[in-house]
Amino acid sequence: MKPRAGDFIIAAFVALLAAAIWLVPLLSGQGSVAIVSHDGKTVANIPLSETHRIEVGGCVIRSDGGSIYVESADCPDSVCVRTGRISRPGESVICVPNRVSIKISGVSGFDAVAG
Amino acid sequence: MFKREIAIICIFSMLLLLASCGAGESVRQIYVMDSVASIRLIPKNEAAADLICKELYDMDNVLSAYDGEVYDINRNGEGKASRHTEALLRSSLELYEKTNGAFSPLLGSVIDLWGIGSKNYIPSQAEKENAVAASDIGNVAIEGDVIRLSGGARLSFGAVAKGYASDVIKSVLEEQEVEGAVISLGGNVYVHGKKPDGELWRVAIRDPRGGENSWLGTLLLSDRFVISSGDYERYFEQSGVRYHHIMDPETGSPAQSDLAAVAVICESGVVGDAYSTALYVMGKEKALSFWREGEGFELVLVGRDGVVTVTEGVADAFAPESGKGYSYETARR
Repeated sequence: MKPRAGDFIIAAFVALLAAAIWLVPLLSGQGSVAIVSHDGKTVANIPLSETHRIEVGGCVIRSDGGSIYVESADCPDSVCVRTGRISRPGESVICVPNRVSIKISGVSGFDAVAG
Repeated sequence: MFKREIAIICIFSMLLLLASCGAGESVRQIYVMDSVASIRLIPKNEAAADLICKELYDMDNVLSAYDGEVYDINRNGEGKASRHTEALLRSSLELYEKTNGAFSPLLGSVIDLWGIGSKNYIPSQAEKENAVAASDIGNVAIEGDVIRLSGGARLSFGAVAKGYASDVIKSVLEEQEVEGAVISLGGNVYVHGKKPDGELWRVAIRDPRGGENSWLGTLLLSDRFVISSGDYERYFEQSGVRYHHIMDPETGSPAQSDLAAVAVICESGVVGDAYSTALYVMGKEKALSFWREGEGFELVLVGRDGVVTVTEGVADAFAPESGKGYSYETARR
């Protein structure tokens, strides 16, 4: 049984779709999404290309121009504010007292950071 | 004639699609032990993930220095220890001996005196001497499950509690026959098994002179803990001096180390946690002697002079991150 043209089209479509899903976030920082969590639950997915201001658990979070950061927070240590802007996959901001985390999704060069 | 090739492309692409959506994982993020715990199990195992969270909450309840059992024992001078507190104290006393006192579980008085990260107080020489005297290891006794403190001693498991907790998680992963997992307890990392594709896990090591999202290299590992200590974790600065949270048991002050950070790679969380603190206190030369005389652990030492020393057992697993301004050397036995 010979493959028909349709088989090639389906195979090509599936391969392209898979490649696109992998490559788009890799190639375009603008396509990155920040996952904002409060107490371990995702509360927002924010595309870094968009301008947003949200308040989560005492942290004021802003995104603009391809990065995201905690602008101000009512926590005692301000580690989250000092962390500054993040934009690359795998980078994160964590506010332990307020139980807030922001993480850039996508494929990073590691599975965990020790330190 | 291309039927097989088409099928292979399809299957491969579907696998890529599956892998990209992370559907086959159990992920948890919880706040315990004054830090964030990230749990990722592959393939999915919700029961094991829930069990790990339960264990972490249980340990958090008893081991915290601010409330719970250890707090009560410190306040009352004695008390009955539950299984975690007893096991942690017994391990800690062994590790005190092994590190010749460079790690001690009895530094509560010194730590409370300074209050690094809270009251940020610079004590007088006399206050430090009193706190060091109170922290004498002879001031703690454990009989059965009863812990007794004397001479003003206070327990502090801050340097080992997370390491101990990761050991407990490791045993859950083994009991539950989890194939692959990445666990991080506030930066104390344990990688279990292998990735679904059979590859090793890649663990980044934080750059002590960079920000929160800066790392100086990565290690390819399986079934190993990677535990770091450094002066970058908790500190305050006054008149140009950095006062950090790693206390030297001899002086009662932040350790004057020639190291900026120590990462220990080993098969036990509590050992890695205690060693990373102790080796930081010892400094580079003593830390390397300790490694040469010991066994079962490897090191990445980050010197204040910008030299990163990787011990030979992990030299091949280590890949430096370019452009960080460090130079790298391998330590041999």
